[in-house]
This record gives sequence, C-alpha cells and structure tokens, in this order.
Amino acid sequence: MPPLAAVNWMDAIGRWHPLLLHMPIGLLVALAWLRVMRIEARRAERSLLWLLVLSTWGAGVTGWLLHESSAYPDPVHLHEYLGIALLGLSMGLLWMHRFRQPWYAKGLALAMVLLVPTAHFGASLTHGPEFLWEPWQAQEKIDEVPESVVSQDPADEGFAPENATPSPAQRFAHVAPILEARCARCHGERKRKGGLALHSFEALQRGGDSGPVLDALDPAQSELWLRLQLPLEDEDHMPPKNKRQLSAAEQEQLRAWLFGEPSTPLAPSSVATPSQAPPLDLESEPYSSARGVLERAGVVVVPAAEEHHQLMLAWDGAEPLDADQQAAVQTLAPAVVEVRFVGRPVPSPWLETLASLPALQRLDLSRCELEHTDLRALQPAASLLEVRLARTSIGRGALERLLDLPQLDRAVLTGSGWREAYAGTSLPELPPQWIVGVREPTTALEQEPPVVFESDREPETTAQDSPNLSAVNTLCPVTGRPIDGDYRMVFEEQVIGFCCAQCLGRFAKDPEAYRSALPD
Amino acid sequence: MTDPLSERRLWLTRRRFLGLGAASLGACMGKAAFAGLRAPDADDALLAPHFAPQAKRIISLHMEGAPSQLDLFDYKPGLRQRFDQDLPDSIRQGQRLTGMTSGQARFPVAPSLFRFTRYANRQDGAWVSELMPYTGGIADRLTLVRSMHTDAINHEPAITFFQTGHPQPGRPSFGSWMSYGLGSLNRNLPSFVVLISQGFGNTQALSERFWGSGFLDGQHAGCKIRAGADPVLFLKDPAGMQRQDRRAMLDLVQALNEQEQREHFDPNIATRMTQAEMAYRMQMSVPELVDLSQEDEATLEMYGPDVRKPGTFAANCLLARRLAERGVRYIQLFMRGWDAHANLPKEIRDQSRAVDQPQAALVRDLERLGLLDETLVVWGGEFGRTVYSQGTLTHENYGRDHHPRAFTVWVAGGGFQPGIVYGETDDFGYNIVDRPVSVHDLHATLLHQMGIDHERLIFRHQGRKYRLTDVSGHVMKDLLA
Repeated sequence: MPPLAAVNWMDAIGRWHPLLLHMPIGLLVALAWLRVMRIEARRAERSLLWLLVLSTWGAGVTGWLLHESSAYPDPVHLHEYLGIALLGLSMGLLWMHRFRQPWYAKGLALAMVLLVPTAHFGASLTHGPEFLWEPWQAQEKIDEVPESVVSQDPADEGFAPENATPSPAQRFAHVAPILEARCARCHGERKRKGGLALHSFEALQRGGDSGPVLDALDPAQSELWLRLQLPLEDEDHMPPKNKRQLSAAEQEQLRAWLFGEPSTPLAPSSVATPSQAPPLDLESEPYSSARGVLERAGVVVVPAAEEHHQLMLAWDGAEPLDADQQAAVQTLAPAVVEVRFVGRPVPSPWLETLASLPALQRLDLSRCELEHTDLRALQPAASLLEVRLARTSIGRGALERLLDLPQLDRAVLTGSGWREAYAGTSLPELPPQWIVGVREPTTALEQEPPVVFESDREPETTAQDSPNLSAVNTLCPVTGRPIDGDYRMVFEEQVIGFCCAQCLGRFAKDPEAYRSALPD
Repeated sequence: MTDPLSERRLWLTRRRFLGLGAASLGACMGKAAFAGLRAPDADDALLAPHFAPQAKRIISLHMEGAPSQLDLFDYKPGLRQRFDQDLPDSIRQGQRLTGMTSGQARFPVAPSLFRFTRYANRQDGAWVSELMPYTGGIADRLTLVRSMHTDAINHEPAITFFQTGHPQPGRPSFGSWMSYGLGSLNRNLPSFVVLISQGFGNTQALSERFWGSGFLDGQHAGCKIRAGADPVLFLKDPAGMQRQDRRAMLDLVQALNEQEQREHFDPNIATRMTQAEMAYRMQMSVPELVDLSQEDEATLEMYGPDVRKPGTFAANCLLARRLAERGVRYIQLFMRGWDAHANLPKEIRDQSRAVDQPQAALVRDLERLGLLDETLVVWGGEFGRTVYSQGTLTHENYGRDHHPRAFTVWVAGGGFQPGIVYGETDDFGYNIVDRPVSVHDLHATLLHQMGIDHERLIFRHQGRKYRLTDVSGHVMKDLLA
C-alpha cells in the first residue's frame, strides 16, 4: 500500500459512487410508493427526503470526483447533467413537501421519470452501451459476420489440414497480450468504448458500433490496422495520442498476425504493460541513490524520454569517479544510452567502463585528453552508434578500432589530429557520413544581371541607348589618361571618351591629329 | 539542495495543498510528506522529454527590428519592372498600416537594390541577396521558410509574441519553457542564456522581459551575459574575499533559508537557494566560458575579424557555440538595429555585413563538431518589411515599414530538412500564397524537435492551463527531415 499522502484521494473517494448512487434510487422509489399507495406518513416522508438530499449530494460529489480523476466515454456528460438535475430536484422536493404540497407529487413523478435515463446512461458507462440490448442483438450480430471470417472460427479447426498455417483465431494468442496491454483498458470486457471489445477473438470479430474492425479479404483495410497507421495527430488514431502507443515490435507482431504471416509470440518482457515492467523509475531504489551519488559528484542525469527507460549522463567539471560513483554508473547501466564526457582527462580504465555500458549509443569525448590514443579501451562498445572525438588527439590504430565497432554509424574526428597520426601510412577508408573537418560552402549556381531599373520616370533614352553610348576606348586619345564617362562625342559612328572637357574640345577641332591614338 | 527533482518536489501551490484533502493534512507537517506533493498530476511538466528528442538545444538568432525579407531572401525580380508604381489595392486589400505610413499619399513599389544569387541546395537552389554571400554558402544546410506570418505589427508586441507565444507581456519566454520542461545539461551554467549585440541601424528598445520567466519560477529566466570585464553583473566576489569564505557564508544562509522553506513552503525561497548555488558555481564557469583564447586561429578566422571584439555578433556567435558545447538548453542572441524605416540600403548593408559571416560560421562550426544534428539554429526577425517605400523612393534609397503578413525565417540543424525552400509569397512579397507558417506553428515544430509535445508542456496559473503555443500551433512535418 502506498503511503497515505501518495494516494490519489479524488479517485479513492470517487470510486464510492457506484455504491452511494443506489441510496437515492431506493429512497425515491420508496417515497413514490408511499404516495401511490396513499400511505399517510408525513413525518416519515420529511425524514426520508432529508436522507434523499444528503445521499444525492453524496452520489453527486463522488460521481464528479470519479469523472475528474479518470476519463469516461461519451454518455458521461448526459449522465452528469441528468444527475445534477436530479440533485436539484431532490432539494426542490424537500422544499415543496414543506411549502407547496400540490407540487410535491408532480415533482416526485418528474424525478422518477428523470431517474430512468440517468440510471441508464450511468449503467452504459460501466456495462457498455449495448448491455441492455445485447440479448436481442447477439444472434443478428453473429449472422452478420462475413463468411470468410466465420470459417476461421476456432470451432472450424477440425476442417483445416493439419499442416496448414494456424488460423488467425488460433494465433490470436500471439497478439492477445498486446491488445490486452494497449487497448483493453478502454476496449475490454468491462469498458467498451464505441461498442468495441478486444479481449477475445470473438469480441474482436464482432467489431464495434461502426462496424467490423477486421477485413479478412484485405487485411490492410482492417479498421484495426488503419486506425493504428493514422498519424498520431489524427483524432481517429488509436491508441489516442495521450495514451501509450504500440512499440515497433508490437506493431510488427500485430501486422504479421493480421496478414497471416508466421510469427512467434513476443517475449513477455517486450510487451510491457505499466504494471508488469515499471519504467526505470529514477525515484525508486536502487536508482534513486545511484542518481544521488552521481549528482553529488557533479554529474547531470537526464531522462532521454518520458518513461525514464533511457538516461543521459553529462559530466560538467567533475573529477574522474571514485569506486562508489563507478558502482552507481553500473547500477544505472541498463538505461544509459548517452554519455557526455567533455573536456577533461580520460584514463583508459574509465573509458573501458563507459564503453562496456550495455545500452550506450552516443559517447561524446570532445576536447578530452585520452590516455591511450589508439582508443583500445573503446573495444567493448558494441552498441555504440556515434562517438565524438572533436579536438582530441587520437593516434595510429584509432581509426581501425573505430571501424571495427559493429554498430558505429558516425564518428566526429574534426581537429583530432588523425591526419597527422596517419601521415606516411596508408589511410583506412572512412565512411562518408563521418565528420572529419569543416564542410565547404555550397556553390553559387547563377547570379542575376546587375540591377537596372526600368521606370517611367527615367527618360526612355537612358535605359534604351546607354549600351550604344559607351565609349569604344578606355584611354583618352589626347592625354592617354583614363576616360571620364561624362565627356564623350560621336566620331565616325563611334563613341569616343575623353578624360576632360578640354581634351574633348581639342579633339573636336582636329580629330585627325589624334586618330593614331584611337583603337581600330 | 542541488537535486533538481527534489527541488521540483518542493513546489507547493495552494491548488496542490488543497488537493491533498483533509485526511493527509496532518502528514503535511513532516518532510516525508513531500513525496505526496507530486501526486499524479498530469499538468506537471517533466524534467524529461515526451518522446525521444532530435535536438538538445536551440540557438535563436533574433534580428531585432525586423530585417527586410525582400532585400535578403524573398527574391522578387518582377518588381524591378514596377519601380515607383503604386501598390495595387488588390494586393494590400485595405490592410491596416502603422501610423508611420498610413498618412502617405501613395505606396510606391520599391524593388530591392541588391543583386541575388542562386545557391545550390537540395532542391533547385535558393536565391539569396548579395548582402549575405556567406549565408548563401550554407543554403544546403538551411530550411528557408519564406511564408512566416505574425499577428502583431509593432516591435514590442511582435517580439513578445515571437519570444513568449503571446503578444501581451507576462508569459514565460521560449527559453524559460525549455528550462522548465527539460532542465539543464550543465549545472554550472544557467540553462537559458541571452547575448545582445548592438547594431548599426535604427534601433528599438529591448526589454528584459523578452527573456523573462513570466509566471514560471524565477530560476528559468534568461541570464544575460555581457561583453566586457564583468560578463555577469554582481557575480564576482568583492576584492579580498576568499572562495572558502564565500562557501561558508553561503552554507549558513542556505541553512537559514532551508528552515524558512520548511515552515512556509514559499517557492521563491527554493528559487533563491538554487540561484545562490548557481551563482557560486558560475563564479568558476563563466570566466572559462568567455575566455576565447582556447580557440584556434582557423576557428576565429571563420567567424570574421569582429570575433575578437567582445559584444559583436561575431563574438556572440562563437560564444553561442561554446555555450552549446557546454550543454546550455536555450541560447538567445539579439542583433539590434534592423528597423530600417528610412535609408534602408545603407543600414541593411552594415547590418548584414555584421551578421552574415558569423552566422554562417556558427552553422558550419557546429556541423564540423558534430553538434548541428542536435542543435536548432533559428534565424529571423519579429516580422517582415513592406514592399512599398516609406518616405521618398529613389534609385539609391528607400525605406520600408513593418509588415506582419509575410517574412522569412530560416532554421538549420536539429532534424529540420536541410537545403529546402518552403512556402511562397505573391509577386509583391506581400501576401503568402503557399503553405503559410505561423509563429505558433514554428514554436510547436521546434518544441517537437526538442522531444516535447507542445500541447502537453503546461503550467497551471491563475486557474487555467498555459502553453507556449496558447491554443494553436501545428507541428509542420513538411519542414522536418
């Protein structure tokens, strides 16, 4: 039992609702009985009415708490509103009994009428909306099941050849734990949201209010599968966004079952329901004290995802760890997927400890001072996907060691001195996704021409004629100095430029004297 | 008192106190009862992501004053033929303007003065203006969103909106939500750091509350690191004070605080205690952080000549990379001076020269250290600028007014799809015609990459639940790799 303070009191109290609600029902019936049978018992009635008001309040408050502390399918709101109406009416009855005798009987009749739908919707929540009609409908429903599915019913087992693949019904055991763990809380024997239950193969075949969920002819079109494949954001996605989703392995298992492919039941541990395999809870022992040891040593322990299955350890300014702290790392080891150990000396035994963490995927050793530069201590890191060695200094043999790591996808070697270490020897070929230095900028493909504005404000001629008006020469034919665009004249259908107004004047007087200085 | 989980547990609000119910009131008096204070409460944000994150941190490069998208990234060559023509009413559609141009007799189209170049990316190339050649050079690393839009038309509300998800002040800023939801990866530095660079153009006010924690605990507010001898104000011990004296003093004060905390459950006392410890550790970590002497020549050169001048955008970009390496969750850079109502060509030249090389260097530097994949670099202003000129339009000069309907933002790294251009504006760069992205959408997408469901990072305050994205925001899956 959890400590008192950890109990969810709203829930604990709310769960008395199903018990309490029967009191007002009984009292209302009793009060109505007294009137119908014309039994004169005014004092008894008054007393019962008080009891009615109190018990209705009790039922109302517990019902509200229950609704607040856990989610219920839709008729819950109707049930709630009707319940509140009944609460009001029961208080009204007390008042009418005292002051407005003639109204009392009518009020009582109204309460009896209201009671029926209130109770019905309430019962739908616990027994499923179909509960009342099921005895009539069950026969029709089974008749509706498509023949192809019926033939796969366990009853037909005898007809199947002995060496044939087992029918979906037989293989239902392979997915039952998944459905039980992920779906049955809302679609189970007790709660049947949307009329759907997934606790047995028969129930699964029956489908929900909106039709069957299995399509024997085209499994890919099965509602069960389609809903699962919808994007998480979609409101029809199942399980709902805020609930636990199926893992990849579970989805694959379900798919194999649906499509009739051979499959074996998942190991019990991989179909973890919250109660079976609690997520690695940082606040429980021994993880809590291991975390404490590390955090006191200046290590940040961060969950890598909500369920705390995966942890990241980040060292910031910490000394190499003593025996206690190493033991703490070992305690947390199954969950440690990432280690940041940046900018400090790394003794080889310590690197070996890190490398032997069974789940370690990412190791950041940037700016670290390595004891053995050939990285031999990294050898046990079989699960390592990425290692960062930027601005370290690694030596000969290190690249081969990295290439030997079976899972390694990427290494960051920028500034690690590997080129120098391998100078003069043949370099092992490195995978293209490894980062070994700064990447070149991307190339310019084209440049737009210089910006020229075409505007109705500008005189048309400038824009149109300017190409023709540029000078054919670059040096002034008179002085030999560079030309100035402002001084130009047309000579023999060519534009000649000059360095100044004087030169232009001189040229104009006697062009022949300068003809030799003109370009051909 | 340095364990973040137990610190979180000390949070006692009236709601939670009453929520315990009368039965456990007695138990409340002892410290053992604190375990129950964190009763199943779905509103409680976790010091853990909701799902496996792509990115571990965000570097936000905010161009304060709003740079002109038309002169940098939103290439509209067709406008060159429309110089000084009136902006058609069918484009403006009677949109409300700021008081600065609403009195103008006409709205003449001002095409960009700057040449654009098409850089290779993973699509058919990205057009970037001559003002940002280095940024063009990383076009294959960028997710260039040309279809951002915002709700506010003035700086103050628009920056507040961009930083806090709401145009009115009082909400926690993006970085504070990060710090609150994910905690820090380095306990020697704050998880949210702010760096400010002064610009060269028309400058707007920069309020401290742009990085405030709003109704979140004060420890989640951004910590400003300044240029110069005293990077964090009041951090240094007075001359002559020994570090062990400081420690002894802190221990005594903490003991008293702890006693007070046990009696009054005031979360501000817990904040004060955490902050004192943080400051003590920062006395060691900050000098090491801002000491750029460990950086080699090649690195400094990459960021350009300004990098040696503290406080410049270049120096702050390098500092941002150093903060990223050290595990800071949210690094907010502000570059001031983009508010070019007049003399835009001159101002934007100076502004762009100051940011272009450093911001490209930051992305390439993160990339070469293997950090870009887990770091989101976000670049953008609070809104865009108008296609029509504010004030006199000539071939050499023009100004542009505020324009919330369309602007450009880019993101690099952190699992965003590199080398794409997303969204499109009309021929005037005025309205979005394809795949708009709102500020809430951007926030939701960034949070998603940090492993956070934006609908579930919640804080209850004044009787309602608050989110960074308020009541909207969609994760833009198209932007993600």
